[in-house]
Amino acid sequence: MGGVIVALLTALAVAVGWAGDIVFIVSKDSDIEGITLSELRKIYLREKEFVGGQYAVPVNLPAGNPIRKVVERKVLRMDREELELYWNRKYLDGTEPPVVLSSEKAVKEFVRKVKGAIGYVDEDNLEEDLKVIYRLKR
Amino acid sequence: MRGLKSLLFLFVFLPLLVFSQETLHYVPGRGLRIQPIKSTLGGYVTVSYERSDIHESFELDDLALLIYGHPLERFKYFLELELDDLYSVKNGKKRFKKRIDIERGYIEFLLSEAFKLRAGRFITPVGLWNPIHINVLKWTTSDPLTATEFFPKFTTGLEVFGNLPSDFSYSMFAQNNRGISEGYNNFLTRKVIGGELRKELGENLKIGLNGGWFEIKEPEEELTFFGTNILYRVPKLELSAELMYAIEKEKYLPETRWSYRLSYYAQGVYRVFRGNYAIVRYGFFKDKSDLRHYRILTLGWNFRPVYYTAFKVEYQLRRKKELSTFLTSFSWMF
Repeated sequence: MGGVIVALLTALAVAVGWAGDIVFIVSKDSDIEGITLSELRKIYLREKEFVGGQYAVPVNLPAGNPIRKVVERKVLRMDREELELYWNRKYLDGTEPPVVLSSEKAVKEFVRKVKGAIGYVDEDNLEEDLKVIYRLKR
Repeated sequence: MRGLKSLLFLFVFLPLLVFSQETLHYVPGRGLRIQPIKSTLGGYVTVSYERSDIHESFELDDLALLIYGHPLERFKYFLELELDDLYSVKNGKKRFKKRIDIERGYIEFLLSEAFKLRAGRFITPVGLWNPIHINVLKWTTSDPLTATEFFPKFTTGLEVFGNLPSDFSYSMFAQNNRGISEGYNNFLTRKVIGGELRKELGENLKIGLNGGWFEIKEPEEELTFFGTNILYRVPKLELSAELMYAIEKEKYLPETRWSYRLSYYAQGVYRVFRGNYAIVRYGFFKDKSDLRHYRILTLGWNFRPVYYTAFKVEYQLRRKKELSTFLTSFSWMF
């Protein structure tokens, strides 16, 4: 029941524009200092594999997650059907889509542990040992 | 039939026997993920039918099984085995093919964003259409002649490719040896060199320039080709065009003869409503022979009820009515 209330409040907050920005994060030790929207798009579409000489490992939240929906709309600029057709081609070309993790907490853990990992979370859930490389307005 | 059983054993039963259920994850149309070896098993199949006044065929073709992986940060591998034209009925003649070909088989080293190296048999990275020649990915069952008459579809050799600053990308490839499954290619060739340079102009527009040379074994010929392509994509709409030109040196004649071939197409694809796409393509081809002078208008429909399947119908209108062709196909990724 508590989870439902939190989800409803989150949805309401997003709807009325109260939610914070979405921040793309890497580990504090990462050499990546900043990134452009175009680079981010290519990394999440697996068209670009290295950032500053480091192999990039993009991480997604589950399909249907409200933050991921914003990322798909504003970063990838594709709807679900376009993305499915896009990943059809990548699948038969030998390219895996980004790793999917179940929650923002899992994303933060992954980013801390895996060199080159890039994830996104709501800025309200940002923690000090993570570095922001791009800020996306909702 | 033994080959098919071996393939099924290798690709389906062996992973199930070797790896525990918890480490396997299957998604329709995205294959079976085998986490311990960071690899994916999958494939696709196509059934097609074609009819004109002078030709009728039904084919179960492109039964392909693939395994690929990225076991190390800078190392990838890819293997695709294919039973092409597995069962066909052409003008009433039935044929069952048992040969298994390696459609693609290569290893890849990722040295940097600008320098990646591939070795083995790969799809020749030329043009817009050839890299997506797999039926389930294409908008129509038929291919434009820019993709079949100017360069070998597959190369067995080395490819260097990568992304460059300012939204440029490139591929360069070369072969100087026998090909893997060399009978399964549109040209029998052992010497190939070429490349393509691409530029993105914003998010929606891409252009490419390519060129290369190759030697055909039978009949002995050399082709030097040049081409350009353009792709414009916005939500619901995709416009594309390719142009290819080749200079042909026929060495099998008593005196070497030079000739040319030219082809282009322009295509529009529009998403009419969810999972339904209308396609219009105009294509042209001309070579030295008066018999091979085509103008083809293709009208097609591509229906994708779910992302991993495609039903296609198309009608090709040609100047000679007897060559006008109806094509349909169903393809499925698993």
